[in-house]
Amino acid sequence: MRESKFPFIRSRHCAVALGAAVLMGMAAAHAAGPGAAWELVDPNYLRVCADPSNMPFTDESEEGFENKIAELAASKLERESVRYEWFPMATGFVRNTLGANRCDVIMGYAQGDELVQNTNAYYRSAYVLIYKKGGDLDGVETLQDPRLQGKRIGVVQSTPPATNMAAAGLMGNAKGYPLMVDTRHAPSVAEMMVKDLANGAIDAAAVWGPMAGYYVKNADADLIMVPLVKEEAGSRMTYRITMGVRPSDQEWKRALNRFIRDNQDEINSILLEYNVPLLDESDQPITQ
Amino acid sequence: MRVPKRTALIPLTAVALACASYGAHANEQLQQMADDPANWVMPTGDYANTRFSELDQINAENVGDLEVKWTFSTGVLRGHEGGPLVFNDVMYFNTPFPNIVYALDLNNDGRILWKYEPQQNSDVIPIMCCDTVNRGVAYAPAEGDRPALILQYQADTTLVALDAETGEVVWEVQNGEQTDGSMAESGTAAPMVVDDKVYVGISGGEFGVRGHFTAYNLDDGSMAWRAYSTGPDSETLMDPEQTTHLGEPVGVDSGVTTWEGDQWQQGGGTTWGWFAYDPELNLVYYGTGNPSTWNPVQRPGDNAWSMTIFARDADTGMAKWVYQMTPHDEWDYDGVNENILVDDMEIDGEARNVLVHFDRNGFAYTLDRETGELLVAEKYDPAVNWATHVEMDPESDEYGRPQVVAEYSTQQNGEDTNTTGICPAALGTKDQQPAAYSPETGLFYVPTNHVCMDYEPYRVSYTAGQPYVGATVSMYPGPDLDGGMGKFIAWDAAKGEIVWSIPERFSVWSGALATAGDVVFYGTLEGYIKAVDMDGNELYRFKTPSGIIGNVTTYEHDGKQYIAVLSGVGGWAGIGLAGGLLQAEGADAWQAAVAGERAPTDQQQAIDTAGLGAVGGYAELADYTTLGGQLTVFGLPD
Repeated sequence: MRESKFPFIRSRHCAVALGAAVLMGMAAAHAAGPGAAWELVDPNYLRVCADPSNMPFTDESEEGFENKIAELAASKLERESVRYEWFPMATGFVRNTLGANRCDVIMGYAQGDELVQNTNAYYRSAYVLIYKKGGDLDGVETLQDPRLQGKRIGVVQSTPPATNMAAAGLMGNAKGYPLMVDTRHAPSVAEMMVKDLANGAIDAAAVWGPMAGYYVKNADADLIMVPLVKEEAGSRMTYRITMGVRPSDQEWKRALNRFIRDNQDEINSILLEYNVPLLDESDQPITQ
Repeated sequence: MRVPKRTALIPLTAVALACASYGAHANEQLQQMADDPANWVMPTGDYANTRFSELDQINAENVGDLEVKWTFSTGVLRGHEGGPLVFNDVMYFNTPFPNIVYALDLNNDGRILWKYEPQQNSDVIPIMCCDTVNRGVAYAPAEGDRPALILQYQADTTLVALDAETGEVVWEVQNGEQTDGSMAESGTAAPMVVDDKVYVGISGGEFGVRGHFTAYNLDDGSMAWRAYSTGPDSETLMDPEQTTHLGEPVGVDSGVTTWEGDQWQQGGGTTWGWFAYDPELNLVYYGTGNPSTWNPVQRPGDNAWSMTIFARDADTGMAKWVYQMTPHDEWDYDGVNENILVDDMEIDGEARNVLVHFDRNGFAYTLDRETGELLVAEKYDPAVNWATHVEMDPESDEYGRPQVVAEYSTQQNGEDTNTTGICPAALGTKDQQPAAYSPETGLFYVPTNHVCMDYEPYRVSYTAGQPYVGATVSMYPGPDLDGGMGKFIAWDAAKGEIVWSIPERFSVWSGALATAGDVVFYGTLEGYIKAVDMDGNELYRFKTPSGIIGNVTTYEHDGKQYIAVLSGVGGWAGIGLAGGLLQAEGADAWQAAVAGERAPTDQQQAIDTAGLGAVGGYAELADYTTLGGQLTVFGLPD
């Protein structure tokens, strides 16, 4: 209870309730937006809800790939510029940003999370296994591989690979990294994992690919990054990433869908520049 | 910041108390003050947590005549848990964040003697957004050069000692370890004072906090000892040979060996409930919360010592015995609820000094509080179904363990299966709201929830850029029993039986009070304070301005008995119930849910069908009350 707990519990009613609150606000404001006249979307600026310190996604100095995609979107949607509402992406993020009408879009949000209305997906990626090249793990592609037995593997709490690691008996030597962090104070978990990998504190890391790619690219060590698309059983490893808007903003969602459709190649270029492992619908890598 | 009322007259009795010691040791003095039924000097009323008062001026004959004597706005919205302390003509209480402490002069129309509002790091709010409650302040009599203290444990885990007379800060100490944001510890519990020490716990299980229970020296705020809920013996303060679990030594590093790898380091087992103390045995008692952060499937083992009742030496912190109620929790049934200490309870013809605990998991436990022997473990809501029973045969390998029903095991059912109809819901058959015990009837008066849940484990969640398979929980009223979501029950802890049960529309989320006037009081989420007789017949009700999640308190002033209670719906109850938000997103979301439910929009139907229709009972709360923070004091007509 509260302090409670169960970080992975979320009510399906939340998004609905917030959407209704937004509608209430609109009734009072009669504000105009693009598309439907009653959508409360800023017509002059692309107002983005973002974490101030969550590289490689977003940060306050606008270095993240979602920052770059936001800039592209602002220009294509004929906005003067991007404006940010910064808030740590932990409990309360959607409510305090998008839900409070302080911004109009979250640039990255997993498809299927009902806290927001998803646009169409603009990329698909997977959890990856990373390890040093040239060691005894060369060629390992699944968490079930016997070569991982006895290895110290880093994994973020409650993420899908941890379920498969538990089933494979790998948790005894695992090193856990926190899922719920106050990003304003905590370093990037992926950065920590890559450092630990480079200095030998862990032998491998199972981590969300888009988080890891950037640090793998910039690591001192020569690292292999394998998308976990060949898991035999267990938790789901691949996810589609969309933009998130308020449930009420149908026209705004369509405008963003058009932006994604018309600019997919450019979006891919940005993602690849940050070494995000992109997968097509057949789990084949997209490289350009 | 302190706002002293410079012109205020300090009540003479308060000065007398502060200056002239009773000649007794502080510990004895606090005990003596607690023994005087005119006072309410501890958040729990007494060390035994009975919440029983010898006062009988207000009684079953005249409680129907009760009237409101005065009220006081706290100036703060959100959930008001806990209740006031009263002694020496002064009333002390605090508010949810920003944790304002008030000292009111009962001799001068409740005039504010002093007010203390701390400056807290606002970063704590987003991370504790689930709940900004605080369960009250504690009192420590003067000792030597040290003035009498009012102790508050703030949201940002600062423990502050205020001069009880002036509200000035005497010392303060940071209890939490918010070093890198991954800890994200917070404070909500009321401290307990014993002898020359004050005890505090920690909240924040959802951020991977490793629970601990800490004693500070009252003289200067220095740490006396700290005992973690998980980890090696040197940190859990356990002796592998001497510390026992159900009579058996716990063995070496039990707080490590019952986990896989280093998961104990973010093991949860937070300590945000109520504390008890037995002066004869010199033991402090408290419970620990759920194992944290890892999905249950990912943390094999019993996960000790989460979900555990601890008995520790008050001076050294060394654990004498432990009892883990829910090994390997899959349902979020924190074990933090209060432990009520009762002497000479007759069990199977033998008088036992016991500890009685009404757990979130739906079982009421009676243990020998010296040895930790399990005497009784029975369901206190017949709807409880996640386990058939607790194994009571000491010869069995399963001794003391709940016998889990596979159908309701979220883990056994796996990620692809909905688990439906689990009772109780994660908020438990009862949460922290404390029960009362009357030595005159030998019965316990227990506020309860009657709520079940469906658990859908395959929803996608997204946090800090990472997608994962999370779970959605839907809560709804339990089966049968009048369709209500709560009950107020009388419980026989010797037999493990419900004696009577009052159905309530909503969960009963307020602390109870029993008195020698043969009356039991409790509050409801709609905002009623209710008085019932010892057979559960209602004698009085009054609707206060907001839902009650505070604890009912009584005291005597100027020869007259009063009843006091804080109103202010919120906390987990108000948010969880009204918004259907189990991972409570704060009062803002709660209000949004309330407004949304009334908003005449196209989404009305969507709400009805998608959410609130299924949990219509909770939504109804918005038809009865809204946010507010108020103290209401009742008395008999002059």
